[in-house]
Amino acid sequence: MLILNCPYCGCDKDETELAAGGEAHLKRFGPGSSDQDFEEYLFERTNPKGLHFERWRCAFGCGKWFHAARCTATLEVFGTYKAQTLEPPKVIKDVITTKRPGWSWRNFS
Amino acid sequence: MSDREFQGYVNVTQDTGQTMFTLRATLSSTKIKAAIKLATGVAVPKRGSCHVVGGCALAWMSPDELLVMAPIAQAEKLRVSLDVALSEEHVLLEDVSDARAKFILSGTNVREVLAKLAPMDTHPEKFPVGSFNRTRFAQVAGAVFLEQDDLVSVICFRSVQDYVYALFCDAATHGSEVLVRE
Repeated sequence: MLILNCPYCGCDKDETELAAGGEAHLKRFGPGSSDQDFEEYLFERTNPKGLHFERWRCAFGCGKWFHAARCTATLEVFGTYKAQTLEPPKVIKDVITTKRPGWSWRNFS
Repeated sequence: MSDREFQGYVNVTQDTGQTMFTLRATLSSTKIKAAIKLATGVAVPKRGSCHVVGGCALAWMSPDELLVMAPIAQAEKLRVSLDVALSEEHVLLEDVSDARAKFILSGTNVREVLAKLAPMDTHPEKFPVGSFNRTRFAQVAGAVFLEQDDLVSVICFRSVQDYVYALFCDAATHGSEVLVRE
């Protein structure tokens, strides 16, 4: 059972109230991009055991998309943050550094 | 549909006398907030809450959405005053009265009945009087407004009103109490 705090509603939401949106912080490659970039954007996903950044939608609540940093092995949630950002905010990174020193995820660390 | 009523350890009543408007706007704008207050007489609520003044209620649905509720008799006047007050702003105002249903639960154990059906924390510290929360009742979306410690408004889509009414009647049936209170 996963409980995430929706940063828009400001309250805890149960997994069943949310819709999973897969990996966070993807850069979109659309029309005009190379076939390889488009293929990577469309299909290539990291699937780590451990720290992961994901998109979630508060489907039964406010309907907004937000991001969550959590561990896929222990289900520990490091924090959630609003989606209007290109990378995890410093507070979230600091929490992860405290709990998982030396962490890295894609090009973030 | 006439108002229906169920007597259990919490009473369930349908309230068909409400009109509801969806209002989508930039709620961080002080100009828009002032216009809404002018039109409705109710201050725009903080997130997770609902304000009621003189029968008119404003509920926080999302960072850019409010639910306006009022007795049906006030509907036309309210619609006009909101239209006038927000005529200069980029907003969406839609009458959703026919798309929604409202139920009222009353009794000392309303928190328990809610907790049976919604995956939310109904503890007074997390869900104090005046709170408004959008959540899920069993399989369908809905919203809860805790008006008083023993009085809750439940709002759902009209298409699932029979399902939601049956859910709450079942959860409120005598003999199905979870906590025994003196």
